[in-house]
Amino acid sequence: MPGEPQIRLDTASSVPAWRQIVSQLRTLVMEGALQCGDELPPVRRLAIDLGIHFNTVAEAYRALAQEGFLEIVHGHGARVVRRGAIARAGPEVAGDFRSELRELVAGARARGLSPRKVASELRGLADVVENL
Amino acid sequence: MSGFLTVTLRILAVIVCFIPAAVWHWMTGRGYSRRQTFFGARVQPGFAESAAGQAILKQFRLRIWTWSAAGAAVSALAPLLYGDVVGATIASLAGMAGFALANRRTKREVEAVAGPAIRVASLVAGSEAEAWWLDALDWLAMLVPPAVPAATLMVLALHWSQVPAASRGAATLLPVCFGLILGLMCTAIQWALRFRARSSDWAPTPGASHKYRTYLGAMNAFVFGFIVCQLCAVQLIELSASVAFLPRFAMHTYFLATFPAQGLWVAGIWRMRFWLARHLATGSGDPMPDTCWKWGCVYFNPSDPVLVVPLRTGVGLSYNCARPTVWMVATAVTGLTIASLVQSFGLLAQAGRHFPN
Repeated sequence: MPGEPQIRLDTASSVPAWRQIVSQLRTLVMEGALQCGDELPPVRRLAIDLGIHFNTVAEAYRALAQEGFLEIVHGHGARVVRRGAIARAGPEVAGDFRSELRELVAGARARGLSPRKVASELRGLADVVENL
Repeated sequence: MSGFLTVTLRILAVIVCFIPAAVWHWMTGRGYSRRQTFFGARVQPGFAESAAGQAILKQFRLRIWTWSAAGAAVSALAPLLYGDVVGATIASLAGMAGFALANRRTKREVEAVAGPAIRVASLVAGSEAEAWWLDALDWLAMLVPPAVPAATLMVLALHWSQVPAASRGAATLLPVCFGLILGLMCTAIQWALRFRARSSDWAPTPGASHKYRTYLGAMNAFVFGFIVCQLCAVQLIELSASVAFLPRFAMHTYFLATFPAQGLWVAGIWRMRFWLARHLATGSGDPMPDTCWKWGCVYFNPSDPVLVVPLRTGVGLSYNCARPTVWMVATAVTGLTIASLVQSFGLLAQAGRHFPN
């Protein structure tokens, strides 16, 4: 259905499937598409829908549970939970973020995206972040 | 056995040999390559209608009809019963072997077309639209086929003392047990279609997918359930003359009484088959590469947790033969079926070899 949260798995990507799931779920939670208390499908259901092994999805759920995004309910999948207070990030986190962002921009430029388009995407993202 | 009956049995055996070829011919008919596959291999749109595609199809059909004729010849010329089994086996394997050869030729003649790289899954738990009647149909298809033989066995067990000594043996129990195996097989298929199938393989929307899978399972249960009911009814009717609690029924009365039901049965299956074929146009098929399909018609993918996927050849399903669950169920059903058949042949032999050569 359009508008409902989805996971899109790129089987041609070099990024492992569990990491794709983790990063997309984290994004959905941080952007508010998944709210505290929302239930995720059981591991088995999601694995069947994506055509990957059960353990891959279970690993992704466990990783997100360790980060504090999910609570795993045995036999019923997982639930999005409110994360506890996070300590304020130091300057090294901001440095890492800047470095990753520059790599991302360079990658997009290398694949043919114009500087104007990259800037416009970053501005759109900044608007979303400011509204979080 | 009278000459007329022997000739009739021979003709029936010969006709049976041509049924698989007719089914394959029908399955590879109009609209066959709607899922952009041709003999189990992904192809470019329009390949089925091209000269190369038509040549493959023509060769496949020629092969299956020729091999079926060979099976029919064995059925007609070899000793009755054993010849029938060998002839029907040749005819059944002919379709699969012909399909495998056509699959190999298709892969050789077309450039490999990659499947979709992106797979999408909804994160809304229970996103398949639930309709009460689809749920009811699912559970009926799961429960009725094994419930009928189980109830028959219970009735027989409770009134075993009234069953005549001559009928207290495998000849009475085996058909019912065989019915129970068929019934349990229907349950397993319907359960897999409901709980262990990928929604997007069957139709683009979850609601349509649920409906398609329910209809497919119901058609399967309808086919086998009716056979199961006949197996059980025939055993009970045979005993009805001597067992007080059963209503009196002569066999010919039973067949006359159920004749309209048999007509409705065939009409119902025909209707469901066409409904499924019509809705196949919207089905997306599995997203897996061609290497997951052995001989083009057997799905084998250890990394895919689904138990059933839609056939690439048209209406129907294939089990994921790489899953241990499928192996366990298939081994149990095959083993019990072979045991039943062996026992039946033994009983026929003991009964004084009713069938002359």
